[in-house]
Amino acid sequence: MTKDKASILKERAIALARRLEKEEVKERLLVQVFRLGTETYGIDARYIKEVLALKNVTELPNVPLFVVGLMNVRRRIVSLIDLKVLFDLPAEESYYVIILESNDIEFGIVVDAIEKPIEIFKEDLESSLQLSLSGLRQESFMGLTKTGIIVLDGYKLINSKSIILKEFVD
Amino acid sequence: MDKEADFAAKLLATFRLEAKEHLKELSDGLLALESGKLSPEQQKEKIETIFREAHSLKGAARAVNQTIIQNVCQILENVLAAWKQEKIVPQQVDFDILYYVLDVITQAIFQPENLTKLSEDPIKDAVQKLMDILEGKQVTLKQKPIAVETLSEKVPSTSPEKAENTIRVSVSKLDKLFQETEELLVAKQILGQWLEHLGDLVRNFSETEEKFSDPTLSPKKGQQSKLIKTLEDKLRNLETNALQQRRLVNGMIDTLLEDAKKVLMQPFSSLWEAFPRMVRDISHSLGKEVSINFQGGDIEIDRRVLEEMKDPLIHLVRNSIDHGIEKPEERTAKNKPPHGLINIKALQVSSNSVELIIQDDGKGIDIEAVKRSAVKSGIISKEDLNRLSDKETLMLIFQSGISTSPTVTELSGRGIGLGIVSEKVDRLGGQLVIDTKTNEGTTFKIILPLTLATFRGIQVDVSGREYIIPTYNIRHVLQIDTSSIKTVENKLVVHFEDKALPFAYLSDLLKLQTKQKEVSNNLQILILASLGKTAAIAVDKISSEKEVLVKSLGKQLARVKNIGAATIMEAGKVVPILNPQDLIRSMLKDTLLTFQYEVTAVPKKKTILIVEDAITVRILFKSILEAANYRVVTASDGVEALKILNSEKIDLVLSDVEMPRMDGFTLTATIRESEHLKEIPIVLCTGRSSPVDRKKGFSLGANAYIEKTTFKQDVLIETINNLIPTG
Repeated sequence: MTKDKASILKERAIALARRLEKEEVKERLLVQVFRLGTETYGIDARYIKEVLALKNVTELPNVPLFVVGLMNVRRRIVSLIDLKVLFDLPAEESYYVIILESNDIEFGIVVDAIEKPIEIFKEDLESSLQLSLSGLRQESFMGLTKTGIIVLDGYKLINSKSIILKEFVD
Repeated sequence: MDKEADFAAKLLATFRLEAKEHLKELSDGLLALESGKLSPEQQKEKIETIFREAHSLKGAARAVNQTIIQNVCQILENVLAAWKQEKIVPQQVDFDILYYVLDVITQAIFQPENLTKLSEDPIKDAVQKLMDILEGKQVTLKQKPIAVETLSEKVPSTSPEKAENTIRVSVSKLDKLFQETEELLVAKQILGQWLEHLGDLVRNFSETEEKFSDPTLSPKKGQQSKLIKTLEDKLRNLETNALQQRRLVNGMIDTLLEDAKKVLMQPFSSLWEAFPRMVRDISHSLGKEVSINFQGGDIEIDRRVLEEMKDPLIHLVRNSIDHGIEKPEERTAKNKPPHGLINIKALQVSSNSVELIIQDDGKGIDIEAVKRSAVKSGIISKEDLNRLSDKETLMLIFQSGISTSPTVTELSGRGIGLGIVSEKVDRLGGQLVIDTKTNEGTTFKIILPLTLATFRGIQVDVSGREYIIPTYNIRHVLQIDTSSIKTVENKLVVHFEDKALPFAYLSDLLKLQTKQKEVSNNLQILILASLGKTAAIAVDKISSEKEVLVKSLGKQLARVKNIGAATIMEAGKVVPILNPQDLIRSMLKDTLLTFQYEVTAVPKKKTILIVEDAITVRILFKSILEAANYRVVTASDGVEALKILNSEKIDLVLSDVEMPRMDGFTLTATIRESEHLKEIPIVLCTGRSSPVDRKKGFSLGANAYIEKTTFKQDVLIETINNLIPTG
């Protein structure tokens, strides 16, 4: 019950924040920066629940490669996915988990390294991109910073259909 | 056991049960008297009550020949009588000594073996002290020969005696349960009826079959379908019948289960009845004054939940007394009443959940101290800590190794107690919330399920991984010899209770990479039942059955093949729970399992492959040929036949012509074209009798052609014998 309230309040807070932001000249964004292989990514920190070291993962049998497995986070079970697979990046060892949450969906993404969070203005992002992105990377792409960090739209990423696993034995 | 001793044992158990209640009343009465909150009138009444309790206890002890207890009770009764008659004044009554006497009696009843270990006889000591009170002597308690904590906690409610496991259940609940159980007798009748119906049906079938098979009686096409229609109607009726009866029986079982669960419900008050005494003892030992209040004690909850909550609640209360509530002088300095207060409240918040609130008016939890301790013990890094809200930081106190107490006291401060709390609450599927305000106190809120969704599963190991399989779907656990795995129609089967069950390795079903299939003759097998089907699966190891808490995989994993949920083991490991429906589906799906099992064929017998889509014909041929001392494997069409031909040695193929997927002609042609199969003799057997077909068969390479319409057993055997003589 408290959770529902919290999420309602959170939604309202986000909605209210947006309305204000429109009136402001520039929209500030706190972005957590992380690495996937050779590429550097960022994600809206509002969707990050916590960052943990990747350990004690229970793998699942016969699942697509992007599903890493299950992790015990303070006695809750959190599923982990590997964006490198979904983004078609070469396989690399991951050492951290960023736990994301939005609209009752919660899961972790495994990343190679965690860097310092940065503050950016949304307008400063280069969003009309010449890079040819596809699939989930295209879907969740928010923009590119001047330093070359690919900023992902947390909401779109978490709520994307392509991260949901739904498989039956036919 | 001889009857006399048996009776004595039963009697003693009953006595202990009764004594427990008397002791509880005595203890409660003393607590009330000591609180000083009673009016003189009430006080008198209370003394009268406990006097009667002591008297009853004495009587009960006499009935079971417990002379020592009887004697102590006698003197206790004398003291209370003197008190009642105001021969001694309350100021003279040292409560510590009375509690001490109660402890000694408790010990003597429940753990007499512990008393004999003590050098000083506590009974004698207790009697002496009571005598001294009566004589108006100054009595002091030198030391506490019996540890207060162990007594207040362990005695008598968790004594391992059988009789202690009794619970009180209202007669009306039991009556209802009995009625509902009686109603289940209907199920017996239903099954009887079913047996009759099925018997009828079997007769009908054999009659029809007779009509079909006897050429003189053989009905015309129109009549045939009529006969079949009649049978079909009967089957449909039975099906409708079955659906209705299933609804009826399901309803009865569900109600019974629901009410049986209610019998297991117990009021919260039974959880905390021993608390007042415990709070008194602990707070006194710490030089604190604490009283405890309860609310919602009549709310009923699953007994198992209560049992699980007992230790956590004791921990929380101890923690409040030890760390929360300040010493009287400190409280006075803060303008608080010197008496600390602990409130325990049960509150039903929905149809299946209840809130348990433990609230103290102490100094609150020092969040900074929690942070320091957490960082120091390495549970969390400084950076991560800064990310956490105050509420989340507070949750850290439930991790092992965190304590805000600078010194380790006997009671708490070792930083392990609260870990147990969160673990237990979690295992029950509950939630835990803390709220704390400096100098105002701390509130722990525990949300618990009213009934426990118990889930039992068997843990199995396969390819180095662990899984849980729901016990509900497991019919049997057994070991079999690898030689009892057979191939039937190119599928692996094992025989269990006269039935051939599909067999598979769990590692194959889950598509796990196996380094090396263990070459062991003994296989660990689970007989799995689901979707109305039964199958056997082999695993590497079967561990014991466990009660686990089912946790969802989360929304990201909306549906995973073969995995239904997961659980967290005590050590923190996540273990997936398998989905038996999916496992059965996976088994039925795979026509050819990847695992190749070498069939230990008796070398002397020649093997004939029967390829035939009609099961009746297949079985008929099989029995004829087996009787003629051939080994027989079967396939239902050409495609399946080729798979078998490629996986084992076949000496002759007996094939039908008209079949789905691949007919007999194509099969014959394919065999003749194959380098390693082309030598195998082929007998075609068909209902087609046209010379054209016969010619086609021979031209494709068949060795013999048998017509079903003129089929004779000895012709078949002779034909085959000519091609491959039996050894």
